[in-house]
Amino acid sequence: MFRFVLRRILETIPLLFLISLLIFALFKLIPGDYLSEMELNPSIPRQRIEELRQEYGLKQPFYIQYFTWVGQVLQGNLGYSFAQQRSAVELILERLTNTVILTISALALTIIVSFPLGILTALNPGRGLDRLALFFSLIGLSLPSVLASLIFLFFAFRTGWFPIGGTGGLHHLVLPSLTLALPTIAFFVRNLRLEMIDTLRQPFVTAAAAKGLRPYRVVLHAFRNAVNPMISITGITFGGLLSGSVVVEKIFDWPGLGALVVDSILSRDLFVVLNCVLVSALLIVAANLLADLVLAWNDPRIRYQ
Amino acid sequence: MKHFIWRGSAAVLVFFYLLALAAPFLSPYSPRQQFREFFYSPPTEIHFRDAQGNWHLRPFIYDYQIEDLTPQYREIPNPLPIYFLVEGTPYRWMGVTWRTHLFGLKDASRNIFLLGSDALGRDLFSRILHGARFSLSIGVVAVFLTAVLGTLFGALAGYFMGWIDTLFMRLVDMFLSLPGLFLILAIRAVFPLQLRTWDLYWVMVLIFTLIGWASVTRVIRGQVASLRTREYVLAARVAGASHWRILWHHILPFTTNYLLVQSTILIPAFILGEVTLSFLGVGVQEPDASWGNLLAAATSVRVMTQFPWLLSPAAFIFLTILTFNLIGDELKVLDKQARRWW
Repeated sequence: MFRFVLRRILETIPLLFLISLLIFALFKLIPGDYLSEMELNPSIPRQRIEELRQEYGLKQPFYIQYFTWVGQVLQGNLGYSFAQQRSAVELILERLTNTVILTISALALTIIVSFPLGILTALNPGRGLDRLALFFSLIGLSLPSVLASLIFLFFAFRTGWFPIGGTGGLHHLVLPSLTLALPTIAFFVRNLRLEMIDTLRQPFVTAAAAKGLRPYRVVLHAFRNAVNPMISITGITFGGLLSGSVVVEKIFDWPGLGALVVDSILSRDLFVVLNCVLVSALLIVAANLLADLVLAWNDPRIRYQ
Repeated sequence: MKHFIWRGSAAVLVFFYLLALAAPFLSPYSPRQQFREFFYSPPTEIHFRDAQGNWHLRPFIYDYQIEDLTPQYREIPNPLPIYFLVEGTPYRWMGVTWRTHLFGLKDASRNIFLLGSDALGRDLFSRILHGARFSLSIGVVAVFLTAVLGTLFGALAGYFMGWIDTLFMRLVDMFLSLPGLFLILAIRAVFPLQLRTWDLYWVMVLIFTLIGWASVTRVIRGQVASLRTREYVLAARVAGASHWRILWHHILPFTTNYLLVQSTILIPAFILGEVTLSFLGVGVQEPDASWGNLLAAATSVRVMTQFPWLLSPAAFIFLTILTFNLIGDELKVLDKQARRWW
């Protein structure tokens, strides 16, 4: 297990290198640089902007700029947000925490709802519950977060049961995470249902049942096998949740990373955008890594490959 | 029942695309035309029966007046008949200037708002139809480019293997491990914020193609890699067929099923991408319309509760995505059946 973990962690390093290079190169394509926006402000002397350029090393060749950037990021320095006039590390960390809270609770919600539902529907395919679940999962998949957020916002306003935006307390978390989880729940129920139906047809399940195991133990046997693909999917889904969080955060006024990216693009605070995208990519890579480790823990076949 | 569902979905989609194609003819007004004195006007009711209880073959609406300074409207008993094929604001279509609209009122100073009007008194129905041109076509165009690019790269990687394969697969891994919307926003940030609408169109197509090619490449590569070892391919090779001929005539035809299924997943995803970008304010800008920025106008709770008709673009978006999903489900089943034969 230890060797597997180590190998898997080492594998992410070249990936991270490539990702950071790609993102950095992308932002170097932008005409002008991070300080060009300042030139539009007549009250800042040109001299000062040139000095800042020198100070931030914006005149150096590409590869030096890249390695300086990576070095600074590794030391935990994410620069300065010119739009919000504060250190970008604090800003991004604060927003990141909020986004992680939101996505993790959405993920937890997804698992709590979709796992029992996926198993129950697979046990009685074609029956009432199954059809109902399939119908709602189709709706859930077709209801993008933009629309779901608006519907929930409307609901929250009409009933007054939940706050319509902002942070603080669990109360504020309910609607954003539910909105975010909705398409994921639909996706999970559909996939787990198919996996379970396939697994329940396997000879080892028949054998377990023939041996006289109690029904719930048989289902447990099947579940442990059927859940493996779902663990990989969970890692990938995390990317989807992060994407969805951008919209949800904007609509529910949840101060997260996605909202920060959009606001920073609108205020041309591009260095912050760059670092946010890097941080979000790190999150995805970490989520996939975690999913692989959980998979290895659940499925010994992968561990001993 | 099953056939009914997916044929119905296909019919709805065809209908939507026709709406988009004929938008200037079907919409009574130009999407930018403002009737400032009728801001936030609710959807106009269409009547067939007048106050005396007499039925009319020609539908009519009642004229209405604003109650001073509030966006509250009061009907006045002055019926205005609706005419078909009326002359109205000129528009260009297929390179010719036309004036005929499908329906409208004879009196140009009175208005018919099928889905109500927005804060500037623009007809929401006209704006939705014109917005559909942008929103609906972008998915198809981007998917076409994605499919071409993905097939090309996937075929190269899967057929020739070696360093080409390693290179493309590393790139694919990288693109797939980037967070979708964040990457889209990052690429969007490379371009200036204010773009002319059709420049933005191509920027979005570029963005979506950059996002979509990786998943297509991975699957096509897998299919090509497994097909190239088949005996019939070997036979073709022995018979003297060139690599390109084998790829084009003997291998790639098998990937069309997958491409079809995948496009029913990618087209709604890209349409949604446009909606999301415009909704967030980095897509189509006012005064031009797209489904995303129309929806953005209805975000605030005040607007949503007082003028709920501004949410009607949501219905169009939902139906489009739903029907694409339904067709996709059906195609997946067909693809699975076809797969048993090879």
